[in-house]
Amino acid sequence: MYNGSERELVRRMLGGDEDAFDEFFTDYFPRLFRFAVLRLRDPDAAEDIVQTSLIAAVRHLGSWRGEATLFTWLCTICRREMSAWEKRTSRRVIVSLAEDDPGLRAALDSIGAAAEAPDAGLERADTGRIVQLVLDHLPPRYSRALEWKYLEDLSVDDIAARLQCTPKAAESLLTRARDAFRDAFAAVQAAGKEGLS
Amino acid sequence: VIRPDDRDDLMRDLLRQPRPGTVDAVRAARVRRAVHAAWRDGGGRTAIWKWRVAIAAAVLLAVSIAPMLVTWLRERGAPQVTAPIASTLFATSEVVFEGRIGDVLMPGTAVSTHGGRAAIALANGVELRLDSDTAITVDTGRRVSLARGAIYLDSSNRRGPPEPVEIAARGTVIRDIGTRYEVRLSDGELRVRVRDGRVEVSSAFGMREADRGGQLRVTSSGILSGRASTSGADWDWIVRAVRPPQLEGRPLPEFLAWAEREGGRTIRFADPALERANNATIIYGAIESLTVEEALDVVLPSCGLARRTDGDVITIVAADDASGASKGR
Repeated sequence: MYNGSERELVRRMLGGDEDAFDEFFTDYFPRLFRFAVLRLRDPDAAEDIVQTSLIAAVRHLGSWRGEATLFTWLCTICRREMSAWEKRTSRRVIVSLAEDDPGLRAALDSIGAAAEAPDAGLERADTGRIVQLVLDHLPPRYSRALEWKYLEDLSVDDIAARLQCTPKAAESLLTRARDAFRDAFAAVQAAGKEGLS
Repeated sequence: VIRPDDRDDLMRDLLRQPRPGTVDAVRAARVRRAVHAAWRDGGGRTAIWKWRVAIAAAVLLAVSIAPMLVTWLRERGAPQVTAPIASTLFATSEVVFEGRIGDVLMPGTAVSTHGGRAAIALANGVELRLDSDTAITVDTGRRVSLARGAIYLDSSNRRGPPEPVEIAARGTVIRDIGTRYEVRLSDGELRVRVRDGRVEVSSAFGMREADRGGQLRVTSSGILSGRASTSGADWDWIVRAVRPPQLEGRPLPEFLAWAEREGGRTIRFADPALERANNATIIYGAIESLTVEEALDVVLPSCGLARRTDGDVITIVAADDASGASKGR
């Protein structure tokens, strides 16, 4: 499903493909950085931790089995690095995660993009932040296609050209991307409301 | 509650909501460089390489075992030809390596110093000096592994493309970006002090850069950055790791250029007229076994000059005017 293109990306990276590395970094660094800075409220510390996480990830790419999305796997590494950072610096990760809720986790996993459980900060967050959170957790092709269509107003033909696929395939991908966005957005909103109640 | 559906206008409204700021490009470039270096170093590619290498090896074996065997039998006993990657410049007593001073070094050559010190030049002209009780392996013409002790790298005579030389120690890689710096290993840490130029340090804790006067310490808890002097007594060892300059009959400016490079302090004359008057001065004698400071104190008075040291700057004055001058140390 979603992991197909990620598997291909990882396979190319393991083969030493520079373009694949560029794609990987462009897609995942900003997301992981936002993931970390949201929790640390310290961009410099977030940079260190994300850099360490990505180095660990590229060194162990072969161990990613595709059971979780690539971003979920990167977040797992990043959380571990944040814990180590807490121990090293005696500082605390400011935002704690409510990710042990098995029901929420299963619901989010079922839509194919493991989303983060909303935290206390998210309860007060504006819609834009939720949108960013959801986009960050969608497969990169989905996020890109949605942004091209709704931010840049590209036509389906232009999107197809960028994705190097047929217009029909691009339309199909857009439909799936909208579905995934809608499901994830609704799941995050619902979880947020439960958190407030 | 906003509930997006498949209608384009709602999706557009949602996606055009103000969102958290983007990551700045400088930060992204910094991280990218470190992650890319780690990726290129291997890491995740190991697994795929393993089977590729295994298949390649099997194919090669099957296809070429017969001619290889013949070739081996023919050339049995013939020495292997490997390009030299460095040469030894200097060594005091108690230096161990496979060869003699002036010999070329092959990939994988180990050099260790005990009581003595040594200097080697890589094929690209970059010079490495080894403090006492240091052990290195010259892996390639651009990579050296430091097992213990301290190395001083001087790339001012680098030839060819400006590719960095890497010093690897305890999982940390230090790359120079046109510079002179020292790497020292001790029980608890790896310390990098930069005398000139810029250095990049990559370890499991991430990547950091330091420039002139900067210091990076890689410890068990992370990379700590700070400042360090570019001159002083704890740099003196680097002068003792190379052959002393032959100054007999050489002009004073040549000696001063050596003192500036090796001492880490900027040297200038108090006024242009004094400099012009001494450009043609020829010096005599030897400075063997002297530190830079000691050499200055021997040579300058013989030329009717004195020095004033202020931080990282040495000002040369006429001896007659030096009544108020302090030697600074």
